[in-house]
Amino acid sequence: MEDKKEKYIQGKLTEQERDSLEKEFTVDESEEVAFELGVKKGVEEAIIKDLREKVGQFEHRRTVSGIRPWQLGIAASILLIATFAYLLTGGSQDLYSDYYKPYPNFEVTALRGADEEALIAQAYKAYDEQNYTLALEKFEEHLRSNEEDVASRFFYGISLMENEEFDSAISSFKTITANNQRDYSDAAKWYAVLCYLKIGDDQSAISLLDELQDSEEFGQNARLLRQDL
Amino acid sequence: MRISFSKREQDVLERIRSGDEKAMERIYNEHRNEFIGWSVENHSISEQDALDHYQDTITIFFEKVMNGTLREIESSVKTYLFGIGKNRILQQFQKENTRMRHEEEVSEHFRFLAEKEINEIYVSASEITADMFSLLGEKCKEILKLFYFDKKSMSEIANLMDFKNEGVARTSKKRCLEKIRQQMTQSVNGG
Repeated sequence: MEDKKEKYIQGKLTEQERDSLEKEFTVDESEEVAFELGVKKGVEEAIIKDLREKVGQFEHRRTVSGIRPWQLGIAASILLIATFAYLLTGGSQDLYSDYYKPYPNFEVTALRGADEEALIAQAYKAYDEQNYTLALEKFEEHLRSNEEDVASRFFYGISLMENEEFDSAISSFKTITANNQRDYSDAAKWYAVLCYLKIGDDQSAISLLDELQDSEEFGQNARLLRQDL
Repeated sequence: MRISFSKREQDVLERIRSGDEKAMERIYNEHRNEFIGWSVENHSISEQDALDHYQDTITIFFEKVMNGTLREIESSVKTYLFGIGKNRILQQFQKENTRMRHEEEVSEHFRFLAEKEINEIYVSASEITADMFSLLGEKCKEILKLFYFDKKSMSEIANLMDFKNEGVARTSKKRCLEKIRQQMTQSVNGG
């Protein structure tokens, strides 16, 4: 049955086989299969988006490498003006908005069914609801008596970023990276990079990006951002 | 199954299928100018629009090579690209493309996805997955890609990913799905 269900999801069954299998689905199985068909569509969309970005990079590289010698002078002038404009308008901040996205909370399931009134449950709930001011307040209170809770410290850092307290966010992320906490170390470095961009400290951002080049989760973005910088 | 790609083109396709970016970039550069020139001349569109069309066309081409759909086509890469390109230009491709993808999926599972509650699960799972796919760990991304995009069987996945057996592969896939499900529950509960 498992094998047949997999073939159904992958679209490998004939119409007749599909119809007969659908009749056998229980309610739970129907929901499970609908979920997986949705995941399939989401995976396809994400891969196509990634391919489209790659194609954009090919074009970008063409533009950069296809320049003629006589165009170099003009390009140099444009570059000077662009650099000046970049410094005036805060180009790093544009990169920040290109790359920043609040980290999804994977912690909350551990809390479901737990005491809904607990401070930590309220903090994650506020975070999920994007009420970062409240999340900040609740995480701060929780961390006062739970200093070792790395996950909360990490999400506290993101809440600080959302409240534009970038220096404090950096301190929070540094606590995590200093202890080399397995689960959140790379994530803390990545978000610290974005904080540095925001406060205009590109050098510190670059140094952390170099450490993230081989990161399983953030390596690809780190390499792209490193190039952009 | 008849395949009439030349040996060289077959090699290129094989390299694209394995995700070789250099081969992809070479194909991109090889047909770019001719495609844009042809689009501008024959379809009276601007160079920028022609470039956009080309990028969408070649994205579709890569997608079809990577998921194995293109093995059965009987033409050269160039003919194929120009064929897709012509159709894209004649359609309002971006919107049309999304709509067609959706229709293909829905028609395949028409009756099954027609029920309201089932459809809601399907739509929600697809949106959450598309949003969070890049944030999943490499192993999860690989196993989900192999199963849903490359349509590999669990025993093939076990082989490719060095799992002890297909049971282990299945369990790993379930763990990855669990992460997506958690995110889905959160967003539903979070309103």
